[in-house]
Amino acid sequence: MNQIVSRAAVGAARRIVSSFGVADPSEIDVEAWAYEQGAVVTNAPLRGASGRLVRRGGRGIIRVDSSITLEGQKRFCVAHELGHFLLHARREPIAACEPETMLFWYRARPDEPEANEFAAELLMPEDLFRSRCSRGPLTLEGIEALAADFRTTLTATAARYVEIGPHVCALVVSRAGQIHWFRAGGDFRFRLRSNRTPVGSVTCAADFFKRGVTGKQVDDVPATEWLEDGRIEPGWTLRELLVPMPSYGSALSLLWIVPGSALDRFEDDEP
Amino acid sequence: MHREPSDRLFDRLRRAIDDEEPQSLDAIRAEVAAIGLDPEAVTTRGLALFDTFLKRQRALQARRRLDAVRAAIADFRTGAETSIEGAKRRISEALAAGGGDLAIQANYQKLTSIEPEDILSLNDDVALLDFIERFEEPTTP
Repeated sequence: MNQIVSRAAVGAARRIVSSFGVADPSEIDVEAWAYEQGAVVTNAPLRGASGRLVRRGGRGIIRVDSSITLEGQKRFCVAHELGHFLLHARREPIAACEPETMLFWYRARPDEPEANEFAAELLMPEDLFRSRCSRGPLTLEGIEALAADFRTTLTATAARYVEIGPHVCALVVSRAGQIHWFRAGGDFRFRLRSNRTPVGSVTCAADFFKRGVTGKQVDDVPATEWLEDGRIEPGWTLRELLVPMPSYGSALSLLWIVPGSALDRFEDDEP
Repeated sequence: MHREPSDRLFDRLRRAIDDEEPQSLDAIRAEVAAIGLDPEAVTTRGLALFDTFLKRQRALQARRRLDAVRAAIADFRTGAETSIEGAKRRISEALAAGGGDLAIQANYQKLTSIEPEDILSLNDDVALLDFIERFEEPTTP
């Protein structure tokens, strides 16, 4: 279910993190690191793009759209463009990245997921991130605390969590009542509904799209509402934690296979 | 007061450093072993601490260098280029990076589909690249 991780991207990010000996997320100084690699970050208006890279030889200018005010978005944008700068030298000397390209697994261009992999590893180094994940129940507060520690967006943090966190879970991003994209952990063995299909009618996400921010935020929902997998029996549930994002007209659903649940036991029975 | 082995080690190391007659490595190893510590473990730990120190210094220097370039950029003003054609030519040449006329022409062609406002902001970024190269020149060996 999980996508192939770019070893080159992860390796490049780890080399940078290692060279600065990061012991705490507060030490992740992405703009200073970018400058050490040859790229200066500036904030200035950009039309139709979140970030733009202009490169010449070993130097570059990363322009981040000054209308981006959220620190997490800005940092991810810088890290994403730095990924292009270091990994995709063969690209054009000018490259602009739209907001959509900074979503995980959005594959408008093949280089984009690689830049996202780089950004995720740079901003949320695996060892540091794992050590900060609580082994207790998955909660929205836990994800929000990680996002605050690492100064990353909730979306990027949730995507990282499903990838390397301690629980079997998946992230589904819905927009206008439809699944926009999803990401599942490597140990999430069930097939999620496809992109562009409507969210299940009794999910927290559906409630949010019907009623707005006052909808349910945590609930055990029928597994078939999110999964299309013939092995699932009626009555099986998974836990949905909803992060409503009304300003984007979208919602994040973290789908957690609760330990001891039928879905979890089913996995235990797998050969 | 109970003293930890590390305190005793520091005492001995201080005396060793203060000693006018430098001790051999073997003598220092023997000193360390004499107080019940593994010389190899002490060395490994010391090297790890030194590595951490160097990395922290590197991070601090990176931040200082960034602050310095930011301060310089604050005074930077882009040229008063308002001609779109002039800006396109300048960007094409600047980003050709020694690739010659073909590279310049290729860059120019790619700029034809870009909106005028974006051409001007690209021109600003290219001017900033030039500025940063000049700013960094004195420190380049």
